[in-house]
Parts: sequence; structure tokens; C-alpha cells
Amino acid sequence: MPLIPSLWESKANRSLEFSCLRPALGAGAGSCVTSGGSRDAARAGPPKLAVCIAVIAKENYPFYIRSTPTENELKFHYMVHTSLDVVDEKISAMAKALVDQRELYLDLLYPTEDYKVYGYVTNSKVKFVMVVDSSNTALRDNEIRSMFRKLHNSYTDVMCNPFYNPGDCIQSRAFDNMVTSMMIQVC
Amino acid sequence: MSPTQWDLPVELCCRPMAFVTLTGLDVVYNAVHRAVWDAFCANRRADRVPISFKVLPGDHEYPKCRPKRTSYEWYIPKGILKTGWMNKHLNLVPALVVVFYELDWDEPQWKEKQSECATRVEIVRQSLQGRNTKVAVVLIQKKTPLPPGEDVIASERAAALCNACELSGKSLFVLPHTDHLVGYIIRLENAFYEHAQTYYYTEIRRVKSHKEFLNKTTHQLLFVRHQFKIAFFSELKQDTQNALKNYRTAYNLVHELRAHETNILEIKTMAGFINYKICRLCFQHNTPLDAIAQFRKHIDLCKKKIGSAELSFEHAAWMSKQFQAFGDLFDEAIKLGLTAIQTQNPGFYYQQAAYYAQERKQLAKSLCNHEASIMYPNPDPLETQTGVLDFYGQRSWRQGILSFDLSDPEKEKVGVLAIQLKERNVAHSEIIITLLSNAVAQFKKYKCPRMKSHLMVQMGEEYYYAKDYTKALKLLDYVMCDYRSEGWWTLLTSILTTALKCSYLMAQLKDYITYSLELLGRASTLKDDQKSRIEKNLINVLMNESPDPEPDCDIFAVKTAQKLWADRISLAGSNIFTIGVQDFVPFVQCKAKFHAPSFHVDVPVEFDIYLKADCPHPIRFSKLCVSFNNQEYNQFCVIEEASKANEVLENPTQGKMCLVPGKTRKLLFKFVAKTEDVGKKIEITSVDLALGNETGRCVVLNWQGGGGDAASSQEALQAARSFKRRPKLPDNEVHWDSIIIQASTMIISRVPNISVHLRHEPPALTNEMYCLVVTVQSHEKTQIRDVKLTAGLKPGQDANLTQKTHVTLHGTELCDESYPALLTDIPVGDLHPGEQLEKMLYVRCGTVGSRMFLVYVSYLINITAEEKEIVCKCHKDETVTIETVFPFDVAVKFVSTKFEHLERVYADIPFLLMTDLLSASPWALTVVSSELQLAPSMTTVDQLESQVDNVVLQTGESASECFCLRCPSLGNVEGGVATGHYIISWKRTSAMENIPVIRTVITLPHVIVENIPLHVNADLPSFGRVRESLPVKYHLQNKTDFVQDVEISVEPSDAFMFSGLKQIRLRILPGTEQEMLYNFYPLMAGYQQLPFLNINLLRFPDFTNQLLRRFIPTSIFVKPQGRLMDDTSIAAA
Repeated sequence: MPLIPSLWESKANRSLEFSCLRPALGAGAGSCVTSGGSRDAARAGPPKLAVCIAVIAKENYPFYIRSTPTENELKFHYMVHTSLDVVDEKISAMAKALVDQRELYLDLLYPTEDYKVYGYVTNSKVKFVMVVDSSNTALRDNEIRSMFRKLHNSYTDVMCNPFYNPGDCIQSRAFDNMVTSMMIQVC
Repeated sequence: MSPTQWDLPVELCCRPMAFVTLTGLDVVYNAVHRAVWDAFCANRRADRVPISFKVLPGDHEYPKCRPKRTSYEWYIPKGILKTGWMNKHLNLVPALVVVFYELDWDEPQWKEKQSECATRVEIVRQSLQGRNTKVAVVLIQKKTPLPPGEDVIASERAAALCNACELSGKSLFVLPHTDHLVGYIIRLENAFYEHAQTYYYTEIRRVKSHKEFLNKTTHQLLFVRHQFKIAFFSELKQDTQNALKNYRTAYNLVHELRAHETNILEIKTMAGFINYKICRLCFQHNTPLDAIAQFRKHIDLCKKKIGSAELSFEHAAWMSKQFQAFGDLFDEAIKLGLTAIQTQNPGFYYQQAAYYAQERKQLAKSLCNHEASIMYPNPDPLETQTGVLDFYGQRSWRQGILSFDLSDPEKEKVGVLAIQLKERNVAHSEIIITLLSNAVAQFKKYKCPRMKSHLMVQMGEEYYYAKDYTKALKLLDYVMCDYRSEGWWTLLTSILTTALKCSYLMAQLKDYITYSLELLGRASTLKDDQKSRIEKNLINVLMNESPDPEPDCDIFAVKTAQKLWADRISLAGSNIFTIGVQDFVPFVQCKAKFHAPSFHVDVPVEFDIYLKADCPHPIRFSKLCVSFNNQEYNQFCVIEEASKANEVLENPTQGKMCLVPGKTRKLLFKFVAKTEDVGKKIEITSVDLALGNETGRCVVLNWQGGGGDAASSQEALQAARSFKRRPKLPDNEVHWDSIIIQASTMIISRVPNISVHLRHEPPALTNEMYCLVVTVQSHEKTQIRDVKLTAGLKPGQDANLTQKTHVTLHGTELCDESYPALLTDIPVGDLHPGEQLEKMLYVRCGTVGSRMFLVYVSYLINITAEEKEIVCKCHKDETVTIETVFPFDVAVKFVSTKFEHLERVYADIPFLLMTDLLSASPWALTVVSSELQLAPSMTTVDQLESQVDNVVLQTGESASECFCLRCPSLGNVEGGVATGHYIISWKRTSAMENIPVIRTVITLPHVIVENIPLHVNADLPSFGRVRESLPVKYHLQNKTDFVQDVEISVEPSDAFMFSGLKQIRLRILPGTEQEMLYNFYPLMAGYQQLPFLNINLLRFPDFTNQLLRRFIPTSIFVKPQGRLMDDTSIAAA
């Protein structure tokens, strides 16, 4: 019996390494290989804690938005939409900072009674918004950061897909799987 | 229970201040007392001590003090805090009672007055029995007191009075009723404040002293109560730090209480009170983060303490109130100078309060849905004997019962029912809307537009639930555009669905139609079955029938709505609704596209209107009209399809105006532009598409410009970016995305069918009448009329050129300044097909350089376009660039009679003027004549006849002339003497006879004239012959006014022998001439040097032989002896 967890662990380690190496590979890498990689990483990935993940275009319309099906979807749409107020404000505050000192992770946007909303913005002003349950107190900032980084990598892969038309909504199975891996699973 | 059951009590929310009562003041009838009282209560600003004053009669009964408990052993408290306690200490039990008494030190009836005062004090003491309340006496005096110690009587009597009243000296005050009343009063109240503080201090000590008697098992409630009291007294004492400390302890103690369903409300109520106090004090101490942390802790601790499930709405109400109260505190702190930020502002608390209020509503809805037959219990279990509860947070039907078991379940049931029935009457929506609007106001302040919109949506939805559909619609309509502009279609659809319900329930036709149109459109995320339903309703409405009710609407509201709709049908009136689509995303899209960016006036203007429907079923429109900036065209661009109202959905695939979902329909329009519009832009200002007809109801969709709605610009951008290959479609179909709106076109004039040729011989020569031959030939099929020629310098060039260029049609005369640079609209008559005309044009260019000339021919022609006769104006223009050059160069030089170059001429001595005319023209020139016009200072030596008449010069050839002139002595003239003008009359050799000759005037250069003292000229033959005598005569002229001594010598020469004076000295009189005769005898043939004549003027040492040599020949050609002559001479010899 102890053999199985260790095997699982070693595989997890390897894939985590792989996913850490990913940014170094650059955006030009083939989409097939990388999407496989991120899926691999997802299996071992961070704690599954998001209840809603959204990708918002530069013009602030949603590219992609997914929430746990158990809850009112509309509520999360509103939550993500209202969080853009804070994102906008943070971005405009950030614009004054130097380009290379810019931090993509926007930290906690705002807490509500039941949820925490986190934000992340790419250099091309595409925003990632993640809603997590407030009750999840075991949550660490680092984990959120790494989740966003993974999301960003996966998003980059989508963008690299020559069949993807920039500005369209994201319809990618690889990206979907990535997001699923981060969402709280409904049993 | 009052509807404000959840509101925090006033006495909790106010700022506690020391309570002091004033007795013995008759504020109604006594002016002095009134003034004293006014001074106490008026202008209580922050700099005055915090005391609340009250005037009471001297015999006022204060609340009785409970007998002191000596042991707590058998005492079991019935609750945490009595409802009356805070009020008692704020408004009923004073810290100090002040007895006002009018008494001067020199009062004659001192004894009586003193005892009366003592009686009054005694009465007050009586009514305060058992309390620690202080008593003080203030003597109102008419006289200003003397400085202390000086008035012996005063100090004596004061001591006596204190004694009589059993007061300490510190509690006796004197208030002189003088000018400085306010000053005295402030001093008085400061003294009162000290007394009050002492009182509250002793009260705190008293409460603390109880502690030792308490035990943890039975007196848990008392721990909280005492701690709260200590804190509250500290606040009264204005010791906020200690108050905060004690409240915190109290808060912790509250949560240590054993909670059970029966007392949870009491615990929460008290926890809420204490929390409120803590937060309030934290904000007061300017530690907002502490306040927020405390509040978070409070919420986390209490969130799960729901209590009885049947009354869970009470918990939600309580939670809501907690958030609201905190929001109020926060907001108040901000008003006092605290700065809030985007992510931490009172709005969040109001929002959360609203959420709990919503939850309360939901819970109430599910828990209080009793049938109408269930009556409110009688007797009312919520009634109490006194009308109020004894303890905060207890149930009225089991007050003071601490047991966790329900002694009387029946009573409990009735009580719960009563609360539930009461809850049913609460106007939940009103509460929610108030909270939401509070939150909206906050988020507006802290730059959260989207949060604001979201809350407004919720407000709108709440109004909808509250059946205030007008307000709901107003709010929803207001925020819709925010979601639309940002492209959040899911949210927009949700809002639209609610809005549609509102408009249905109010039977608002126009709104109903507008929302339906958008819900059917591509921005809507509704499922197809929903869309079908809406489409069907829309068609029903257009056929003047009632639509089916929207799902999930209140049944009663639907009934009312159905009646309203029925009324609408019977109501005659305006049934045409024009809806501008630019602000929303309707289910029909429209794009207008002119076939070309410009059209010639003689061809019909063509454009297409593309329509596409996104609704689930085919739909038939009744009319399409296009409006232009020139409204005359509107009539040509209308499609109307007469159909009966009920045919809207029938025969779906037939007819031009029937749109099949997803298919692009193209409608071609054609019209002939007006000739007045040539050069103008024709613009589509709007496209109107009518749905339904006038007999039923009619909706006109109005697109501004060439189509496009709120979403189409983004879509167009996206389509432009897209590099997706579009699937091939049948020939007559197009991809919607690939259609680009082109809403305007230019009308340009008809293409001319004539040829314009220019014939000329460039370059032009300066000042010549340059001939430009314009040939116009018509290639039109019909006669052209009113041909007009505009020719000349093209406008828009250097302004100086206009001055120096002149154009005329008449070449026979030279044109002058009065002639224009551009001849406009020269009528040249009509031209038959194929006919040709020629027009000569003469241009005179005054300066060199290149010029652009324009030849513009316009004409009228009758054309038939689309069976319409129109008169077209056509024009053709030609431009040509012509270089202008000088025809020739003229060089002038002055030479001596010996053809030697002269820097200057000598007065009275003849010289030669040579002109040299070098042709620079590429064409042959004819010099008709030349003329020398001399200046008055010059005279001619011989006839001035032209020597170059009718000379033809080819390129590079030159013509020279030579004139012998003399300049009389004029004295010294600065800059030389004017010579005159040289005038050349010329023309092109090729020019016709009648072309005038051009006179070119050349100003000759000035020449410097110099006087010389002596002029020598020689008379000698043109040649000599060897051994033949050669007579030479020298003339020496004295040009001065003096007698001149002249030395002359002749130098010998090898080539000549000579006879005559070899050396002589002579005198020449002024103006006279001396002749010297020599006979030279040449010895050698060839070009020989003459014996040189040396002349030396004694008066003028400058006069050198060098100068002399200019005038007299220095050599001569000597011919050899002729042979024949030779023989004879030999023979002679």
C-alpha cells in the first residue's frame, strides 16, 4: 500500500516542476504539448477551492466565466462584475508604477460575508477573477498566486492556438479542464 | 411588539452625559430664573462640559432606591439588563441636585430665609433617600459680591447656611445676577461637573463592591450586568478609555453565558448592545480598525446563533440591524473626518444589512405563510402588563423565567404564532430598499460604479417584489445600459426579464415591446423556448391582442394586468411606436451599404439594405423606408408589403419582407440623383423598419445612419480582427459579418465624352503673345450645348504670377495690365456629335519661370437615366505647364575708336557703343528693327541707323551693332552718365503677320566720363608702302582753360626714316589746336611700329604716354613695293 502514494507523489512533484518551468518555455511553445502539461499539473494541483473563475477582456466583457453549478450562477456573475470596480482602481494606481516593477497579482479585491474575491491582471489588461469561499481559512496567499499563474499559463496556451480568434469567448477543453481542477468539486 | 423592535434603543445610541437637575427655578414666571436656565441650556457647544440639565420642582420624587441587598446568596437574577436602567441613569436619577434660592448676604430677614432654604434642601434629600446623589445650593444674589475675605458678614452667614443645610462649603455657590451671567454659569457648571464625576465614581465603586458576593453558577447574568453598568457609569463620567475596557470585558462575559434557545435572543441583544458601544467608542477614539475588527468578531461569533428555527427571520433581522448600525457608526465617523476607502466603506455594511433583510424576507415568507383562517391569538401573548419588557431580549410570555425547559409549550406555541403573524405585516421590501439605497449612496462616493449598478438592480427587483413596478422599471432601465455597454449579456438578460415582467404587469406597451425586442435579440441568453414564447407574445401585442402573462408573476398582479391589457385594446389612440435601436440590441439587425463610394450623376445610385433576424421564428415586416439627408430621395426607397395583421407569421418564406432567422436578406434600392446634388454627399440618415400594421399596432424600428445598434461596433471590430475562413455560401447570400456599413456616397458629375487638346510651341518668350490653340472635339452621341471654355493661369499659384500673366483671345493687339490672368466661361456655342472647334488663346507672360495653365471645358447634355430625362453638366479640364524664358541676351560694351575696351570714356572724345544680341530662344527670332535712344547727355557722332533690321536669328546666333558716340564734358558725375535705351522690336519668325511686334527696351549702362588735358589724334593713311612717303599729321588739342607747355619728341624707329620736328617745345592756347606734320618714309614692309611720339605736359605730370597711346595709332601696315613700279623705278634710277 505505501507504494502507491509515493508513486503518486513523485509524479506530482515532476509535474509541478514541469509547470514551474512552463513560463520559461515562452509563449511560442506548441499548444498541444503545453495543454497536456497543464492538465498533468492540474491533477496534482493546488487545493480545489475556487467557487467561481472568470476571465475578463481588456474592455471588461467576460471571455470566460464559470461557477460551481450548485449555486446561483447569476450571483457570481454580479460578484465578478462588481469586483471590476476594484480591479480598475488597482490598475489605475498601478499605472503609475514602473513597468518592470508591476505585480500582476492584485491580491484580495474585496471580502464579502461569504466569499473572498481575488484578482490578477495580465500585461495586456486581461483580468482573472477568482472567488473563493470565505470559510476556507486554510487558504494561503501563495496558493492563490500559483493558481493564478497556472490560469495565466493556460490562458496563454489558448491565445497561442492559431484557431483562436482574439476577443472571442474561450472555448477550449484544455482551459476548461484547468479551471475544473481549481474549482470546488461537487460530488 | 413595535415594528422597530430591532432598532437599538435611543438611550444606547446617545452619548451619555452627567445628569444634573436644577430645582427652585421658576422658568415660566420669573425672568431672572428664565435667564439663568437659558444660560445653562443655550449654546451647549463642545467646549462646555458634557452635562444634561433638567429643571424639576423642588419636591420632585426621584425613583425610589431599592433596599440594599446584604447578601446575594438567595438572589437569582431574572435577566441581564433591565430595559429601564439606562434611561433611569440618563434622565431620572441625577448625579447632582442643585437647589436655587434667592438670598443676598445682607438680607434683613436672614433667619427666616436661611431656614426656608434648609427646608428645601431637606425636601430634596428626602426624595433622594438612599441614593448617593449630591446636593448643592446656589444663592441667586442681586448684588455683586465683594472679593472673598472682605465681606465678613458674607463668610459668617455662608458658614451658618452650610451648617443649617448640612452642606459642605464646596456645595454652596453664589450666583450674582449681573452682566456676566454666562461667565458665572460656566464656572458653576464646571463645579457641578466635578460633583457629578465624584458621584459616578462612587457609583462605579458601589457596583464593583457587589462583585465579591457573586458566584459563577447562579450569578452569571449579574457579571454581565455589573460589567455593563460599570462601563456605562464610566461613560457618564466621560472616562471613555475605562468604559471601552469594561465594555470589552462585558462583551466577553456575554459570550460566556450558557446559550439556549430560550435565552439566545437575550444574549444576542445584549451582545449587540455592547458591541455597538465598543464600536462607537473605537470610532470615537479614532481607531476605526479596532472597530472593524470588533465588529467582525461580533458577527463571526453571532452568525451561527440562530436560535429557534421557527423564528429564524428574527435572527436575520437582528443581523441586518447589526450591519446597519455599524454602517451608521462608520458613516458618522466619516462625517467627523475619518477617511474611508473603496474596499472599506459603510456601503459594504449597508449592503450586507440589505442581504440579511432579504434573507429575513425569504424566511418570513416561508415561515409565516399561515392560512388566512388562522387568527391572531387572544389574549395577545406579546402584551405585557406595563406595555414594555422588563429585560432586554426576553419573550413577553415568559419574562424572567430562566429555565431552559419550556414550562408551558402551549403558551410558547401561541407566542411564536403571534410573532410570525406580526412578521407578516412587516414591510420587508421597504427596509431592503432603504438599506440598498444607503449602500448605493456610499458606493457612489467610493468609485464603485458597477457595485452601484448591481445594487440598483437589486433595488429594482425589490421594487418589483413590492409591486411598485414604475419605480422598478425606472431603476432597471437606468442601469441596463451599463451592462449592455460592457457586454455582460447574462446579467443584461436577467435584468431585461424582470423589466419585461414589470412592463407586462403595468401593460406598458412601448416598454413591453422594447424589452421583447431585445430579449429576442442576439444579446439575450434566453433559451429558444423562452424566445419563442416572447416572440409569440410580441406578435399578439402587435395584432392588438393581450400577451400571455410572464412566468412567475404574482397571480393577483397578473389579474390586474390582464384587465389593463384588455383596456389597452379597447382604447383607441396612438398605436405606432417608434423605437430607436442605437441604445439597445434588437432582434433585427440592419446594415446599409452603397455599392460605391461615389456615383456619377447619370447612373442610378444603388445601395443594399441587409436585414437579419435573430428571433426563433420567421417574421414578416410591413414596411421599410430609408431616409436621406436630402429628403427628396426618401420616396424612392420604400418597400411596403400590404399584408393582413394575422399574416405576420404565415407564408414565412414568401415575400421580400419576410425574414428567416439567421439568414441575411438583401434588399436593393435604386434612384437617380438630382443634378443639384453633384459634388454633394448623399447620406442615409435613418432606416425605419415597421413591424405590424396601422390597423393593429405598429412598431417602427429606427436605425440612425446606416444601421448598427448598441453591440454592433464591437462585433464589427471583432469581425475585422477575425481571420476565420467563412464557409462558402450560395451565390446570392452573404456573411453578415463581412458586410461593412457604407452609409454615404458622393454624387459626382458625369464623365465627359469630349477631347480637349492643346497645341503650342513652348517655351514662351517673355512678353510675347504666346499662342495656345485649344481644340475641343465632341465624342458624345447627341448634341452638346452651352459649351464654355475657361482658360488661363490655374488659380492657386503664386500671387505674383497673376499680376504678370495676361490672357486674351485676340492676338492682334498686345495686352496690358488690364487683361485678366484667367478668362472664365467663354461661350463657344454648341457642338454636334463628332464636331470639333478650335480656339486660339494668347498668353503674355511678363516674367520668366514656369506657370500652370488650366483649360476647362464645360457643357450641358441631355441624358436619359432610368427612363428619366436629365440635363447633365459635364466638364473636362486640361492643365499644362509652360516655361517662360528670355528671348535673347543683350550685351553692351564701350570701346575706343581703336576698339579697345574702355573702363571710362573721355569727355568730348568719340567712342564706340557696341551692342550684342544673342538669341536664347529655341525658335527663330526676327529682329524687326532696333533703335538707340540716347540720353540727353550723349551725342552721336554719325547717323543712328539700325544695322540689324529684319535679321533672323536662329538659336545661339547673335546680332551686333556699333554706334559712335561722344559725351560732352559734364564735370564729375557720381555713378556715371546715363547712356540711354536700346530698343529691340522683334517677333517669332514663325508668328503670323498680324501678331504684333514686341518691343523690348534695354537700359544701357551708365558710363564714367573723365576729362583729359590734351587730346592727340593723328591723321594718317590706312597703310604705307615701302619707300614711299607717308605723311602723318598729329593734332594736339588743349582741352583745358590754361595755356599749356608741351614738350614733344619723336623716338627714332628702325623701320622708318622721317622728316619733321624731332624735338620741340611749344605752347598751346586754351581751346586751340596745334598741328604737327611729319613725313614718314617706311623702310620695311609688314606691320611696323611707328616712330613713337613722346608728349610731356609740364602742368600735368600724370598725363603719360600710356594714356596717349590710346588715342594715336602706334603701328601701321607697310606694303612692299609693287613689282611694276619697281621696274619703272629702277629704270628711273
